[in-house]
Amino acid sequence: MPIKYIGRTTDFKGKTLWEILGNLKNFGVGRIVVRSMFERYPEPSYMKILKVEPVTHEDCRKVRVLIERVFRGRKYPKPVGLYSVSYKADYRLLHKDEEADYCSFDPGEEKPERILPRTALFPPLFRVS
Amino acid sequence: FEIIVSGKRCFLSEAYKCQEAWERRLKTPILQKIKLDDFFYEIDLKNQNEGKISAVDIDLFANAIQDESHLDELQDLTHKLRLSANTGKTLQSTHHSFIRIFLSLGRHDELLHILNDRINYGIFPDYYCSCLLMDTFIKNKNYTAAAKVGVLQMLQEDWEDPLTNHLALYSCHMYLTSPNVEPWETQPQEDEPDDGEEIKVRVKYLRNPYFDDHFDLSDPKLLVGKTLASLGAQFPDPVGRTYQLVGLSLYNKWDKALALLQRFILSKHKPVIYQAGVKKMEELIEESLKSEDTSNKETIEKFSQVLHELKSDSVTEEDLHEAILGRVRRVVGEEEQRIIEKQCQVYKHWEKEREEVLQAEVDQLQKQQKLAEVEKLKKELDTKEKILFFFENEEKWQLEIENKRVKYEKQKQPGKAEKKIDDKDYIPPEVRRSSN
Repeated sequence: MPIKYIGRTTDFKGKTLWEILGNLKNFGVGRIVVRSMFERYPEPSYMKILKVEPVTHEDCRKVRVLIERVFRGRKYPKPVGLYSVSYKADYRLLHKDEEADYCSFDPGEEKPERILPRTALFPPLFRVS
Repeated sequence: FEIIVSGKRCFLSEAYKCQEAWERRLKTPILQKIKLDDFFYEIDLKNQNEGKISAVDIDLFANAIQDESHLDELQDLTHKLRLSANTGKTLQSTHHSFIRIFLSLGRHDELLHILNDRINYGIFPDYYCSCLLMDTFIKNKNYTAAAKVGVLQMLQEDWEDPLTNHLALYSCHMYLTSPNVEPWETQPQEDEPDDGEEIKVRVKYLRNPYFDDHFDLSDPKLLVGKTLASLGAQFPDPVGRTYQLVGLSLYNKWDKALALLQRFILSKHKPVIYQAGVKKMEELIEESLKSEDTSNKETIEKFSQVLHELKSDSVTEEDLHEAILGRVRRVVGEEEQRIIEKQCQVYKHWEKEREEVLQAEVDQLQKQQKLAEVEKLKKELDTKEKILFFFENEEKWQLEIENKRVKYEKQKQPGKAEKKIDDKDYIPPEVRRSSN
């Protein structure tokens, strides 16, 4: 008897974090995981796993993780914790030989900060004159 | 020194098993006190009543087992531990003793099934165990099982240990070159009978179909190919190069194979690859050209052309089998003694670790019990105090009664309905027209 699943559709492409980390020795500490949703940007976005804490099993098992996150080429200064997003079936493991290639990022020239003027005109209907 | 015993190929000596050091663990006072049936019953009861299962308990159970009767129970407990939050605290010695006990009782198929089902059981062989497994399977000429252990190493992408690398290479080589190997899947796949009825299951979110080319691989050809491709990269010599190319061809990654071959030719290492490897690749090329898959045809044909053009001094006629054998024997000779000594040290370390963790848990339990007792005592003293000093505090109690009186009732907020309780077994009552 074929099983038919009914539920909300998503745009995710990948596996849940537990399905990846549960298959790795020592829960994949030190490996790099990538979210498929963030691959739409030209700069690389990835997460390096620092510490893993498994959580009791549920239907879609979540896992508490401490990661070093790099988003669009910029690294977050402090390690970040993920828990409530680990159910999303959007994660992908990077092979060790692919890591160097994927994570290398040349920021190029730093774009100068755009300083906007202090004053601006009101919208047309609000203008007094 | 090679030992050929009645035609069996042995690499690791009997001393590698460290059998005495392993059996010494049974003499520690903790393990001697354990009675397996009672222990299993207690762990099970604690799991059902409190939902908690402790990693040390499973470790003690796994180490105390000596015969077949408790293997199913061990499997069950390992699965339960994997489902709980305490999986992160599993001790290293649990994986080790699990594998050793299954191996020594001869349950090879079950063990391989459990090792491949990492999400549900979470048993990972360390370098010592994987070498032990591969050696046992090679001695029994079960090259399929040995190749499966090599595949496990590939899935972890862990090629740090030289002995494991060499044994894995040998296992995959024998799997490919042996005339009749056992099939990869030992249990026949049963198709469930199709009644035409669909079971509908409600899930929160639907999963889009996704094939990651790594943990989802199940075809033996692709698995062994990927193993050889990543393993070959660890050996910077003709053997490694041959196997990298053969592995990529098995894995159907013809573009990578072509790029690699061109890079090898340019790098001017002579000889580049072995004749046996070239022959194997030509067979694979023929097979895939026949198979009507037109997407890679051009790449395959170009690859085949470059292969043919390899000059004679780039290809050696030496025996690939002998080369691999020689290398494995050399590494075994170099590393075996050191590994045996290290492993005996590791066993002692595990015993200490087990005692420490157990002591920490016992202390934690005692602390909680004492805290509970203190709380109880505090409550009793509180009630006593209230009774004894009632008349002094009578006015205070009267004020408190005034404060507790509800001034207005909580009004129902529009739009916020109370949550309905979802009872799966709820069958709505049948309503029939009453005959009045």
